[in-house]
Amino acid sequence: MSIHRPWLEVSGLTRSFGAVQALRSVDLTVEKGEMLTLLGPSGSGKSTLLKLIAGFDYPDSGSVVLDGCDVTYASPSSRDIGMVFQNYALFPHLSVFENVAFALRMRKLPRAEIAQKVRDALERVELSKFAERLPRQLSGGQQQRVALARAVVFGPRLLLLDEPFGALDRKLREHMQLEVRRLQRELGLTSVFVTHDQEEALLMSDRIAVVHDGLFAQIGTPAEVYAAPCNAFVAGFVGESNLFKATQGAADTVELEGGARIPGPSARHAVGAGMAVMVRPERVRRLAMGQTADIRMDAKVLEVAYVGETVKYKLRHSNMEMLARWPFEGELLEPGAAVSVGWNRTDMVAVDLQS
Amino acid sequence: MSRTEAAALPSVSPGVPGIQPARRKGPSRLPTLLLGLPALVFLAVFYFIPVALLFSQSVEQGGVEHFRKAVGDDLYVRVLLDTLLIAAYTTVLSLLLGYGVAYVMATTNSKRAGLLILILVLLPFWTSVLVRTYGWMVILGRNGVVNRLLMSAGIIDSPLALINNMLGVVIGMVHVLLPYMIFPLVAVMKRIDPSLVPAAVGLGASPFAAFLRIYLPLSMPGVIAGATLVFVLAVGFYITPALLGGGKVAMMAVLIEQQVRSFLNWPLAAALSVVLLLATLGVFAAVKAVANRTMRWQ
Repeated sequence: MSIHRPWLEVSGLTRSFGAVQALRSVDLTVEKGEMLTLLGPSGSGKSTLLKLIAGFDYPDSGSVVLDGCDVTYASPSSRDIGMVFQNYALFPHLSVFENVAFALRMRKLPRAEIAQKVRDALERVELSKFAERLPRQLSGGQQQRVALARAVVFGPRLLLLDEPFGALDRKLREHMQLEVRRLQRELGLTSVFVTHDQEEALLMSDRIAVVHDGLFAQIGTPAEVYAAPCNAFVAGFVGESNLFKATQGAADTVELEGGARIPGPSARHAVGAGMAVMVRPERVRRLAMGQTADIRMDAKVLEVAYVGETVKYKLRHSNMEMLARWPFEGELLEPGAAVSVGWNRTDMVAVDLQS
Repeated sequence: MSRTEAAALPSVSPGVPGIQPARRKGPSRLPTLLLGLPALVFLAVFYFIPVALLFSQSVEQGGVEHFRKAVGDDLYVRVLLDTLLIAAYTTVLSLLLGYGVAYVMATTNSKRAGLLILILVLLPFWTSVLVRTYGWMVILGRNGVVNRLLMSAGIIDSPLALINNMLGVVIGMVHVLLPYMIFPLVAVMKRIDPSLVPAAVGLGASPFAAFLRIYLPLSMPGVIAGATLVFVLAVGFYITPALLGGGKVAMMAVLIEQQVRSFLNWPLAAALSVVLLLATLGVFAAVKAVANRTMRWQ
């Protein structure tokens, strides 16, 4: 009988800097071949966690187990972890070839094998022609690919990516995101990816761990995290959302802060408990005369933002403000216009007020 | 200079993307040259012309005779070699002592520690060379602090000869010239991306290998700059060798001064000066050639 063991297992990891608790006993498992994203605002502790996994810092308590070996206090050079740094950290005095060959030279592989592996890695990232260039002679996207080749050429047990796309312009970033994901899948590389960009996280990940204040607010697939955030922080951080503070009522109703009682989402809280209901802006529908919905209200347009294929409207109904996102159909509503909006019970999610 | 130029020019790069445009001759070079003009004029009036006069004076009064003496006479050749040797010792010692200090200055996160080290380096730097040299005489002399301490501790029976020899001269010169090594090193080290060494270690390098293959090569421009500065200054050093050498260590500057003041032999002094200048330029050119080959990435 074999016991299932995750490829990377982080348990009870704690790290403080002076009075600041960067990580408060976090547990995390990553399966072989999985791409897990640590998503959180800056200062949430996600970079600290990455450093502890890479070995550039050591925890106050807890353990990091990689492929069955406890590496909590092992030196980074012995961990066999490939890392792509935020600024790529390419060696400026070494050619592209030598940058990629570095890890292999440190492992004292035979010359011919090094040449072969470097050629293969450069081919994978389509940089074969640039082997003799210096890093500064390459564009940002090319440098990024060198960093990637350098991190995977030695067959690492784990690939770490520390906000690697921050310096690229939008178009290149989208291209690189897909390319990294393709490479990671092809090589079956278990990866931990750090970002503060929620769109990037949704696009790249098998699972997302939302980091907040040194703790995981939620861990789940992109669809779970987006569609069923478990608390107000996740709801607000991943995607846009409308959050209404409320109290859980009986029979799946909720009482909003203003006192209005509406049909609520399927209850997750005890009757009388404080909670919030969340509705995504794209679920707030514009209702024509006679159309019905579980919740229906008249609202006034406050602000209009045209963002291409959709239009974002900020709406107000008595003291409730909300965002709605509707497809652009040739006509913009003006601020001040009156609209009927509504949504159904199933469009709402009950979330905790805070993590 | 080429870097500023590349930035100033519109980056037109036909052909392969990512390659910097080739050096272009154009109107944009003139203002750059004009900026250097005042300093150039100053150097011409106070350096190049006097050197040329010195040279011509030496040739006029005796043709190549003085030069033949300066490079043929055993005594003068010995002194020239000693001078280069002392300068080399001073440079190597300054590098060994200064590298660590510069590294700490460049990489410390503590503002207070950085400031403290800066003051410790600058304070002697701002003090007169003469004062510091006399200071060393007090410390290293026959009855100096070091000898008395060692003797009262019973480690030695008779005083060590710490001054009036090459050792004393080198100690004094290293002390005076150390800041000239440290500051260029710090300037270069501060520009080294601090994530490079962790990146190397993460790729499997031991800390020593990461230093040898990554940090050291990247700090080489600072090493070259500091070493050149210290070497050139050391070759022409006068006060410290004159005082700490106690007349027993002959360096070129001391010899030249003797020729002028004691023997009024201006032409020979001029010839010796020119030989020293050429030797210095030779070392400089050799260093530059090596540096150019190893620092192609710069």
